[in-house]
Amino acid sequence: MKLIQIIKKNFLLLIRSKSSALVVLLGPLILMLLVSLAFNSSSLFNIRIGAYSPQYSDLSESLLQQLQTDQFKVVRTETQESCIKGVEREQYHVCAIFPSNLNIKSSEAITFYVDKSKINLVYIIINSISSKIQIKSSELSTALTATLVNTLNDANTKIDEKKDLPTKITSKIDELSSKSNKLSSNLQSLDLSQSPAGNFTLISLEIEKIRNETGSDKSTFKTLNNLIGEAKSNVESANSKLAAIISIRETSVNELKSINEALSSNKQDTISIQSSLNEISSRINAIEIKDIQKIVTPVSTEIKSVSKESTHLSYTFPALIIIVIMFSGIFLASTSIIDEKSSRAYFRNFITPTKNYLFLLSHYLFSLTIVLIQIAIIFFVMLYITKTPTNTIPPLVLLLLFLISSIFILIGMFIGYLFKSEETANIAAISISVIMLFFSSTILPLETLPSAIQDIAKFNPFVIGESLLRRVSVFNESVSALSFQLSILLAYIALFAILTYVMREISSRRDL
Amino acid sequence: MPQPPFIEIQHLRKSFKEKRVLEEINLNVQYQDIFGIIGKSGSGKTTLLNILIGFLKPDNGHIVFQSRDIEKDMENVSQQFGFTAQDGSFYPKLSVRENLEYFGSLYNIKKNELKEKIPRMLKSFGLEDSENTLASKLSIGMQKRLDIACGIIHDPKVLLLDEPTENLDPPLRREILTLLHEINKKKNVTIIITSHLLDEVELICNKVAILHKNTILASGTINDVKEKYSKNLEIHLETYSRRYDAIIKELKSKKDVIDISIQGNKLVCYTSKPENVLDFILGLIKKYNEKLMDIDINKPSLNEVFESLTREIKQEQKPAKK
Repeated sequence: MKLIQIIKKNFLLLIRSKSSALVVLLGPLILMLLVSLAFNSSSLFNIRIGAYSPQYSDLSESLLQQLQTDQFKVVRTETQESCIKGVEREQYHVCAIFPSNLNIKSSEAITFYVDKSKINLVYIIINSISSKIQIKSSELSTALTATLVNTLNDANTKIDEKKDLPTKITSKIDELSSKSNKLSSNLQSLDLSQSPAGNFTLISLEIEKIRNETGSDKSTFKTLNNLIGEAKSNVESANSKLAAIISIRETSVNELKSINEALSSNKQDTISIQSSLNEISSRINAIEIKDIQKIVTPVSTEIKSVSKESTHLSYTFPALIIIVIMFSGIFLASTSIIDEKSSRAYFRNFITPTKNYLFLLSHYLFSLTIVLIQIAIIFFVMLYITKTPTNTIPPLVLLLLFLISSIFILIGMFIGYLFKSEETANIAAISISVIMLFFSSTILPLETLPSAIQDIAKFNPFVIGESLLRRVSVFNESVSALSFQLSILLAYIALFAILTYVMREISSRRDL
Repeated sequence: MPQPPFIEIQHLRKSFKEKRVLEEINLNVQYQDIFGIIGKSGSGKTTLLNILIGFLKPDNGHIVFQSRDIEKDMENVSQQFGFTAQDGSFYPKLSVRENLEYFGSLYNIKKNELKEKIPRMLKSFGLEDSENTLASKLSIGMQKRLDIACGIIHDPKVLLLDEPTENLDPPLRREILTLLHEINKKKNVTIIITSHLLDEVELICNKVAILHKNTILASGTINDVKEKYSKNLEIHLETYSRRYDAIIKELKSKKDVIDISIQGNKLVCYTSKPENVLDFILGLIKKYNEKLMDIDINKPSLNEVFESLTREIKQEQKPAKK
C-alpha cells in the first residue's frame, strides 16, 4: 500500500509539471517517429559521384549512364584534381577516374577514389557502385563469351564437315600401303641371278685365232663350242627373265600410277583440311579478347583512398570526439544551469550589480573549460595509442573544438534555462543529443536517409562538427575551404547565445 | 524642517496576471529606520520587497531612493541595497569564506579589500571559527548569520529582510534580532523587515506598516499606529475555575464591549470604556460566585491593533458582499 502511494505520489509530482509530463511522453514518441521515418529503408540516397576522364569513350559513357540512377548523381569534373578534392571536401562520395578512351581492350582500370575515413559509408558505396559496374561488366563479358562460343561453333561445323576426310585419307593410305607392299614383294620376287655368260665375241675371236694358227679342225674346239652353247643358253634364259621383269615393271608402273592418283586425292583432302583449319585459325585470331581475366571481368576497377591509410580508430576519432563534446557540453551546461536555478543563492545573484551576460559568460566558460579538459585527456590518450606526435595536430583543430564545444554548451544552457526541473531538462538533453546522434553518420550513414531529411540533417551541428573535424584532421583542409560550414557554426553560436540570453531573462522571473 | 524620506514608495501597484497583489501602496522610510512590514501570508510583503530591490517592476507607481527613482538607477540600488531571503541565499557547498568572497566580488569589492573585510565580518557575525566550514554544515542560526553577512558584505545603506526569523526557535530569534539591531546602530544601515510575527516586529522596529489584502492599512511609528488605530484597551481576566462561558454570554450583551477572546487561561475583553466594563465584569464574578485570580487593564499590543484593523476590514466587506 505504501509502495503504491509512493509511486502514485511520484506520478502526481511528474504530471503536475506540464513540461515534464509532455517531455516524458512526447520525447520518446518524437524520437521514435523521427528515427523510424528516417531509417525505414535499406537503400542509399543522393550519392554523388564525381567523374573525370581525359577523353570519354563509348564504354565510359555507357558506364556513367549505368551509374546515373535515382540513387546516384554523376557530376563531371574539369580536372582529376578537382574530382579527387571533391571527395575530400564531401562534394562527392566517390570520384571515378576513367582512362582516356576507355575500351574493352584497355588494360587500364577505372579508379574509384573514396574517403575511407567514412568507414561506415565507404564500403556500402563501394559495394553499391561495384554492383552497378558489375551489371555492365556482365553484359560485356556475355558479349565476349558469345563471340568465343560462336567461333567455336563455326570451327565445330567445319570440323564436322571435314571429319570424314582423315578416315578417307587413312583408308587410302592403307590401300597405298598394301599396294606398295605388293609392289615391293613383286620387285623382291624378281630373279636376277645369272650365270656368267662369258665374252662370246672374244671367245669366237680367240677360237678363230687358234684355229688359224693351228689349222685345227672344228672338232678340236668341240668342248669350246659346247661351252659357248651353254653360255648362249644361259643368255636366252636371262632374256626370258628379263621379259618377266619387264612384265613386272609394267605392272609396277600401273600400281605406281594408282598410288600417285591416291596421293593426289589425299593431297586434295589435306588441302581442304588445311583450308578449314586456316579458316578456324583466322576466326580464332579474329577474336579480340582472348585473355581469360578480361573475358570474365571486362571492366576492371581499382579502389583508392583519398585519405591517408590509417587505423579505424583514427578514422572514427572525429565522431568520437564530437560525441564526447556533445554529451558533455549539453549535459554539463544544462545541469549546472538547473543546479544554479535551484540553488538558494540564485536570487542573491540576481540582485547584485552584475550584468546578466556575465553570469551567462561565466557558465559558458566554466562548461567550456571542463569540456576542453575532457577533450585534452582524450587527445593525449589517442595520441599515445596511435603514437602520433602532438605537433602533427593542425592548429585549426583547436579552433574547431572550441567552436563545436561552444555550440553544444550553449544548447545545454538553453535547455537549462528552458526547463524548470532537473529531470525534465535531463530528458530534453538526452532526447536532443540522441536525435543529433541518430541524424548523423555515426550510427548509420546519412546517405541512408531520404534526400529531404538528409538536407535537413546536414545542418545538424553534430554533422557539421564531425565533418569539419574530419576534413581538418584527415585531409588537413584550410580555413578557406571550410568557410561555409564554419559560418554555419558561428551562426549557431550566435543563435543559441541569443536564445539562451532571452531564455534566462524569461526564466529568471518565472522560476524564482 | 522635516527630512525628505530616505525611501519613498508612491502609488505602487502590482498584479500577477489577473491577480492584484499590491494596491496603491504609499510608504516613507527614513534613514536608519528599522521598518517592519507586517501582514499575513499572501498579503504581498515579499512582492513589495522584490519591487524594492528592483527584481520586480511595479505596474504603476514609483520608489524613490535618496531622491532618485530606483527604476532609473538600478545600478546604484543594487549596490546600496542588501537583501536576505526567507530561506537563505548562499551556496551550501561553499565554505563561509568562499560565500563571502563570491558575493563580495559580485558587489564589485576588490580582492584586497575583501581580504581585509572578511575577517572583520566573520568576527562581528560570530563566524570566525567556521570560516572554512561548508555552509551546509553550519547550524541554522549560523546559516542565518552567514546569510545576513552575505547581504551586507558590500556595506549597503538599506538592508531588506524577508521573514528573517521564520523557522527559528525563540533563542535564535532573539540572537538574530540583536544582530540586526547592532547592524542598524553600528553600521547605520536602514532596515526593512517583513514578518508576520508581530511581537518581534514590535520588539525591534521603530516604524511599521500593516499590509493586509494587498494594501497598507496603517503605517508610522509603532506608538503612533497603536494610538491612531486602537481606541480600545484590553481587560485581562483570570478566574480560579477558568470557565468563562457564562461571563462571555453576559459580556456579549454589553454595549461597550467591542470584542472578547480567550488567550491562554485568560479572558481578554476589548473595550473603549474600560471603567464601565471592569465594574460589569466584577459584578459578574460576584454573580456567578467565581474566584478572581487576576484582572488588569493593558494598552493594546501591535497584535491587537493588527487584529482590530483586519477585523474592521472584514466587517466592512461583509455588507458589501450582500
